Amino acid sequence: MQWILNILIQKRNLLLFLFLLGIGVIFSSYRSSYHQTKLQRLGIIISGGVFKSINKSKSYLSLTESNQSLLTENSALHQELLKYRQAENSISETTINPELNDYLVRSATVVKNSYAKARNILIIDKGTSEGILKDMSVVGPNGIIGIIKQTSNHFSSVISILYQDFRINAKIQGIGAFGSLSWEGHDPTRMVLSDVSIINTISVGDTIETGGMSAYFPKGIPIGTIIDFETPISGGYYNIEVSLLNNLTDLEHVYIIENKKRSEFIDLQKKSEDGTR
Amino acid sequence: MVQDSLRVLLGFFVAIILQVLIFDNINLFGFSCPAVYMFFIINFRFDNSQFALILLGFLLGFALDVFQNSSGAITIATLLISYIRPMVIRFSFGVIPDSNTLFTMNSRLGNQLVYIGLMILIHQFFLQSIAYFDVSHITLILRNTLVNTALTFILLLATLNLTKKKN
Repeated sequence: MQWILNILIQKRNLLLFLFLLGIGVIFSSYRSSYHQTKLQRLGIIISGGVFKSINKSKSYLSLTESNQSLLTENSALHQELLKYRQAENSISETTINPELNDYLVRSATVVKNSYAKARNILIIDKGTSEGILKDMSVVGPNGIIGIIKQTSNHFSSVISILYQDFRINAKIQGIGAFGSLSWEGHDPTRMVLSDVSIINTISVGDTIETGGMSAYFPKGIPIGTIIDFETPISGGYYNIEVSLLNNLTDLEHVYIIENKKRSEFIDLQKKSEDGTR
Repeated sequence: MVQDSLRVLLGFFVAIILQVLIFDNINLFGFSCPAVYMFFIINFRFDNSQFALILLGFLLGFALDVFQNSSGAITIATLLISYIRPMVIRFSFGVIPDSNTLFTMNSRLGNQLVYIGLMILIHQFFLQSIAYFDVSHITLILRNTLVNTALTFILLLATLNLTKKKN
């Protein structure tokens, strides 16, 4: 018995190190377990609260710029609205029931933003008490931002599109060629579109938008423009470099889109997959 | 003794607060962020218990990971550097350093710079390797390691010079 105690005392540094290393590895590798949810929720609550107060004071310094960007965005939306009204002048405003719209949009303020890491997360100041749920999509003034990862009562964390291993279904506007958009971790303004077949003719300057083939993002939200592409010597797919429209390093206001038919879509997809087994 | 422990605890919280509020917001070249919290581990008294340093290093990294919402890379990297610090000290200063803190040290400046530089470099290499966790990103890991090391090294030397007691 004595010798066990002696070893424990002699090697206490190594044992403590190994024990804490185990905890550290578990902490970093748990991605969908109960503990991860708990820890991340606690993290969101603490850092959300702290960063909200810091952000409040910070936002005063950039009021002019944010007003300008809000005004630009509002005017674009008004223009869009007018276009629809003209097109559907037979339907008066009062007959449009908002419950019939597929998507519900809510606004939120970013309280913590990151873009310099390999896997970036944002925190916004809306949570379950405002109707925000996991897997809702988040867009900015000029395009997509990410997907809600976790929620607490008053805050939510968002997986940024600047997140390695995260792939988004996208297509080239006007052509309809679908591909898969991913971030390589170098530059927060650039992404790579792969799996676009070389039978499609593409050119620099073409707009990339969401493909709508998943239940996350509605179809047709702009993402970026093609700035460069390579035609491979072998293999049938282009390697396309995309410049993002949104500046993800400077985000203040974002919009959360709720797809009301998402559960229906997921159910149907699951049923079809089960049926083909 | 109590005063020493209080000083260590104060240093611990100051390191977290300064890192989260100020240094995490420095995004030099868009990707570089100095790890000034390393000051706490580098400057921890050499004669204090290593057991305490390992525990504090872990807690320091854990607190920073929670605040940055990162995946736990800082926790593991600070834990590793806390554990291997005695080896770095032996390598930099010989068997026994002539003083127990950098503030009162008479060793040649070169030895002190090697110690500080090695601590930061090893820590950054661990940190970036765990964050990317993919050999195919080795160029990114090395680039971030070198730039962050240089930035942290400059800031830490400035901090040390500012806080060093005048003889």
